[in-house]
Amino acid sequence: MSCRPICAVFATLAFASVGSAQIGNRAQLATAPDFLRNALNAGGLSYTGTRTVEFLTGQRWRTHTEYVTHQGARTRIEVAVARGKGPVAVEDGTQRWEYFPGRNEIEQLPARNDDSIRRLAGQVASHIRERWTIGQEDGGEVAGIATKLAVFTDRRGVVRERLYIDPQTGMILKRIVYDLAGAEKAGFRYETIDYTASIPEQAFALNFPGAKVVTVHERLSRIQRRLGFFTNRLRSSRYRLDSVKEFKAGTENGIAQFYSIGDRKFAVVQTRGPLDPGKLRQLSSPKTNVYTCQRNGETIAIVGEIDERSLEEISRDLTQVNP
Amino acid sequence: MKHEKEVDEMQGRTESELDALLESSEQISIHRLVASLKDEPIDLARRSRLNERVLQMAHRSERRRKLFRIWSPTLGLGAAAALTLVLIVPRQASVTVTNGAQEAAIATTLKDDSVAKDVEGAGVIDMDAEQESNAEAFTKNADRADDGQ
Repeated sequence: MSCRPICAVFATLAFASVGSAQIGNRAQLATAPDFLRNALNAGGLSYTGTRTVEFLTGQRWRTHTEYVTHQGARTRIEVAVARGKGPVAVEDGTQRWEYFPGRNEIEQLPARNDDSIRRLAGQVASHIRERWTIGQEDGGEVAGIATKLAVFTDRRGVVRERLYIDPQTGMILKRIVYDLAGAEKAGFRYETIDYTASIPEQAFALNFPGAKVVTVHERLSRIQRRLGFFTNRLRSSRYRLDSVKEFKAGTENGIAQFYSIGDRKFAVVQTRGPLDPGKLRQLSSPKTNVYTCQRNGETIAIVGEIDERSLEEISRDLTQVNP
Repeated sequence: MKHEKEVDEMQGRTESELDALLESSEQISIHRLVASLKDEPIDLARRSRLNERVLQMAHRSERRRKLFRIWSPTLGLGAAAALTLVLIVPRQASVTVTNGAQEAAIATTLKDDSVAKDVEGAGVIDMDAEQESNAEAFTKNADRADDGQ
């Protein structure tokens, strides 16, 4: 007896709430300051610039510089490296290609385009709902442009985010994100920005002769084989595989498959050995739910800000595919 | 037993003693109370109502028996289906005691990815993926060396 049709109905019902949530978000965002609303609608800009990105991974700060070219839905980002070529990412609004010179491969992924702006809009709406304070200040100059600063303070009085916005264009020129305790955990800052630069058409094409193109699914299979895992993944095309990452916990390896369905994100994690879902939930962000199951001796955890029943429905779509 | 004892006691008494007992104040007050009770004719309407109720109750229990005969196989099938689902559906891993290292590594990986995607948007490139090629190449070379041996 196959339970897939029933699962599909359950999953559809579970995610049907996304649409109504978006309508709710629009109502919340209508109360946000004008310059902030402009920033959340500034996806169609054209510019070139240089930005420094910093984020904390575990206990270590990672910093890199990017050369950014953006035109409408299209983006090119080159990572600056000390010597030789660095990775390059290009997006055309629907697809994304990441070139890794070290392995001379181009990885094909779904586009992220204005995903971060969309997620930011959702977060701002949620902050307004949760009665965070949105302060407006003079942000000073960033990349030679006078900015307006939006400061998000939670109900405990802890500053959780700062956005430095160009009030003329709505461009977010600097962003600092803080953790629950108010310590900085990630951010970026544009060093230069040029809204008038002419952008050649070939800026959004990758031309690396001899580079092999691999899809994100192929890369997942490769990592699974290399680390000795079964080729478990979600079968339904409703779940979009956005990226894959391997990680290490002591001597054990694990694989995180990052999926999305509409605006919702979740991860399917493959590990070996026992896993305590309660502990994982405790260590994750507050709204996170965890569902774990066993497949072929592997422990699979499905983790996301989605109710546990939907996570369980997702687990039923797990299939071992032939790579 | 108690009643037999009382009868035996009575049989041991003389006629005059029994007459005296019958004329006691207690016996007289009970006699008056019984005499004051009205003679009520048997209420046929009430009896009829009682009969109807007994009939209704008999019908009801018959209906229950019929329903049970119809539903018992259905309930059985339902229970069997529920049991099948419980056996087929992947079960939540049993609660285990772990040292938390794996959970911490997963939580950190997922949080880092979320923050990186939130903040960087289109810019986020998995820099570890660049190093992955070296691990891949190393594995391939090791495989070749193994094959050569």
